[in-house]
Amino acid sequence: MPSADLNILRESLDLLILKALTWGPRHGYAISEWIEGSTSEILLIEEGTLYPALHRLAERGWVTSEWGQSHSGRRARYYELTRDGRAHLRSQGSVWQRYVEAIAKALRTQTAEVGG
Amino acid sequence: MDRVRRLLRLPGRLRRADRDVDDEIAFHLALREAKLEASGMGHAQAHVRARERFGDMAAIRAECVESERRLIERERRMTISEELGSDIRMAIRSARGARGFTVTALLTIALGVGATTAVFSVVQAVLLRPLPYPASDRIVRVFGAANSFDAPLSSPNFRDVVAQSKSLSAIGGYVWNEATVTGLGEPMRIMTAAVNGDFFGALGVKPVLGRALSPDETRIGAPRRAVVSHEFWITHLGGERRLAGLHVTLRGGSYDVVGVMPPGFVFPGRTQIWIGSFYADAENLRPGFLWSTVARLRPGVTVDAARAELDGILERIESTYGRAEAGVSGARVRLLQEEIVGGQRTPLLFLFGSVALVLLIACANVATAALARGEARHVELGIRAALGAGRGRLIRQTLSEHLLIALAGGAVGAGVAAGLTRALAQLGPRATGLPRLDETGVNGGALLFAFAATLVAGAAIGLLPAWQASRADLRGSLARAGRGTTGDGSRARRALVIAEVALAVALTVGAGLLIRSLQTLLSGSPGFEPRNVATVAVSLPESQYTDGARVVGYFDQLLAGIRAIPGVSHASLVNSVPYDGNQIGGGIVTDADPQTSGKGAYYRLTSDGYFETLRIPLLRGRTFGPNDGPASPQVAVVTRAFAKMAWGDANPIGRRIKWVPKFDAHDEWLTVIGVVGDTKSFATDDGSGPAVYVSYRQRPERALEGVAVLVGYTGDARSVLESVRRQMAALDRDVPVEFSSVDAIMARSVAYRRFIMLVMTGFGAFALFLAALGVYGVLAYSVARRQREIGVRMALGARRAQVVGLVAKDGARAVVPGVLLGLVGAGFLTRTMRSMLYGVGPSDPAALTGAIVSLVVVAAIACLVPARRASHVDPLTAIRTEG
Repeated sequence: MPSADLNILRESLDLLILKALTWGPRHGYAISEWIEGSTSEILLIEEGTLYPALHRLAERGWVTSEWGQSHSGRRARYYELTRDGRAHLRSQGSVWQRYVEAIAKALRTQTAEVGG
Repeated sequence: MDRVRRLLRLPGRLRRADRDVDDEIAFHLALREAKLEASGMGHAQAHVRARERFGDMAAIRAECVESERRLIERERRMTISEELGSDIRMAIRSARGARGFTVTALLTIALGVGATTAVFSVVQAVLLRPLPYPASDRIVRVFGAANSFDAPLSSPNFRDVVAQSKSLSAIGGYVWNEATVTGLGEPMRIMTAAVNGDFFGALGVKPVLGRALSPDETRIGAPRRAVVSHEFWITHLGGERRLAGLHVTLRGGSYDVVGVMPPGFVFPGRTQIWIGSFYADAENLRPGFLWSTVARLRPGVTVDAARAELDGILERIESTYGRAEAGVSGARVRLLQEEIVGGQRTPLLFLFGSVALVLLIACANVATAALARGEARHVELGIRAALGAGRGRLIRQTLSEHLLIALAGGAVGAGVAAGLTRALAQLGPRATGLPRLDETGVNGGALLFAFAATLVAGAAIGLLPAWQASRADLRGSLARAGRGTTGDGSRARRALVIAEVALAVALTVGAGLLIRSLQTLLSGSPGFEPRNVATVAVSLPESQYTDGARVVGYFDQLLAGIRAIPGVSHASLVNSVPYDGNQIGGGIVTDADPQTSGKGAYYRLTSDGYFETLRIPLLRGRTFGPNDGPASPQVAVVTRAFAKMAWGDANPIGRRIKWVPKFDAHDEWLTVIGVVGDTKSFATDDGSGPAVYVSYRQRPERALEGVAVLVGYTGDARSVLESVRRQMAALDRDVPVEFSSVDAIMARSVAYRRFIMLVMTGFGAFALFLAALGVYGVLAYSVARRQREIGVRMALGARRAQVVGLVAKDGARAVVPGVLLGLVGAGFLTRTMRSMLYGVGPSDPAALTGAIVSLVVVAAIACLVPARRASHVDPLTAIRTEG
């Protein structure tokens, strides 16, 4: 995968994770379910990539984790949005939105105009 | 909530990164499998599918573990700094909670550190700081040894030393005296120095403008040249940079100014003008004492080596010319630095040691209070220990709490030190007798010292409570809760208070001894009556009073005029007022033994009426009269001690004596005409020093060196002195005058002792106060703790007096061992102060009793409040509240 694509993917995955946590602490599986549900399974082709992403976010201080108990009684790791994470989501979210719209707009234009 | 979670969280190092990551992945896969199965997939297929969807398991796991490790490491680091931060926050919070304790502790430390730092600053300025000359530790003073007297060198001896010495690289002599400088506005008395040899080279200081006097220029007969101080140049010469054409007039001659010394250079004393030698008549007088000598050691030469060499040179002179002609036998060589502050070293170091003890007492006091507080907090500490606060954490917390108080106290203490030091510096060298005191200030070194003292204080007050905290455990605490404690803390506190009492007693004994010394010094009769005698320092300008007749004419007129003032009983003059620190003396031979000059006596130049003015009793013969003039035979009045020394019990009237060396050219055999009572010449003098009085009328030119006119009065001093001032102005406007009194001169002579005594008394009082506070604290605490017991006793019929007795007994348990230990300590302390005592032994009963009594009194007062509280305990309430 070319690195540019990787960055875009990473960035979008990060934002989705942060978004998933705005409703409160969740464990990894719940996050992956939310992303699947809200993006129609387009983005998370390999569920496992979620975990390095979570660690990345933790290292940046945008999420924290705490071990707790799941509904089924199993030991599970819960992730929680930090204040920094929330701020990042707020600022980067709108940037991302404008970016996506700009790309979409560009892709919608007619090929003929480019040629001629 | 956050707190609890943090307390419950496992320490970072116990967690395993890989296990956490594995658990997390396993959890994900399990949920995924469950969901797939729920949608109808078979178990085995769901297992495979879940892993397919997960992706590259090994790579993901590796990435996660690595990141997890970094996170754990970071968290561990955060926890430490976070704990430290929370330690400090908790320390501030608990300090705020116990405002009374904090304020008292802070002020105690502030005063302790402040006083210690101030004394350190003085020690530093007076003892430690090098003199302001280059390589000042290589500058020595050289004396001739004349019996026990450190004698200046005569001109021939000085020349020989300069010619022969190989261990000294520059040798300079100086004679320091006041001179009248005229021609620059009002005539003024200025400190001047005649210098000889390489004076400026020996001190290593170069002029900032022009040049210094070369050795050749200091010789007799060289052109008259002068070097002036920076201060004199600015004030009196207008700071004129072109020196050519500038001159100063003194000693009847005009001197060209050739150089200006750097600011602050005023050696010796406060010299403003340096000129060459003008002692033509002393040029070849070997048995004389003239040049105070400074010299620079050659590289690699030690003081001892220089001493050995100079000793040899002067001994050779003695064996060549004989003892009487050589004037000295051997040399004494000492570092200039030691010479200047030598006498102050012991008392100052003693003061420094004492103030350090005061700081120690202050720390003990705060530590006692901190321990009591720690006991009161044992439940809190126990709970925190049970909640997982580690032992180390509790120790750290207690220490940081006390360090914080100490640091705050130290900061305030630095301010206290600055204030105290400024106050001391303003007293100045004159009022305290401390050289260089006016140069004292709180500098970087002093601040560093204050910081170190603060840290020591912080550790001193924090260590015991920290140890106490480390023993905190919940079960014990809760079991003891509500019953009070009688554990180690209480014992430690009692030990601290005993130590405080002991130190306070030792310091008070020291202060008492100094007070008693000063008392003894001032109480003994000096042999004269100092009250109601004003002094007027008079210096006639040599340029105008060129012959003896004019000098005598001036003083005859002046004294007659003063005697005529209403309220004046006597008027006379003397070359140096007793106790003024300027007593001169010389060797003397008698007709009983004219070959040796082994006898020494003070040289006193007086007018008629001197003995009457100071009410010194005439024992035999007569005193000087107006007829003892230049034409009549030279006469002398001697003291009883002198007569006894010279002729034993034989009648001294009509016997003859002679100064060797001569004080002036026409000194001849003197005939004794009278014997007067002995007088003290300085504060610690026992009055047995023999003295010889000569008549100024027979050598009036010696009065040009400056004399004091003594005015005995009966009425109002101010109006008398005003009349004297008018009288003198009318007689000769060009004569500068300076008023004082014999009383004031005597007080100034003990200024240093008084200063040390006052500071020491302050320390003693402060120590007593602190010790009393300590006793109070222990008793108040023990009364509060024993309320129930006291209640029971009272319920069983104990009377108030018995309860008070109970408390007093408790107090005595701290005070009595403290006093005993203190007396032992005082034994050590006073051994070091023997040289500072006068007329009292280190075990002076009055000082010892005084210290014990004052301690017992303040301790009794400290007992009073807790005892009262105990005796007012209501049995019922006491039993109920603690039951």
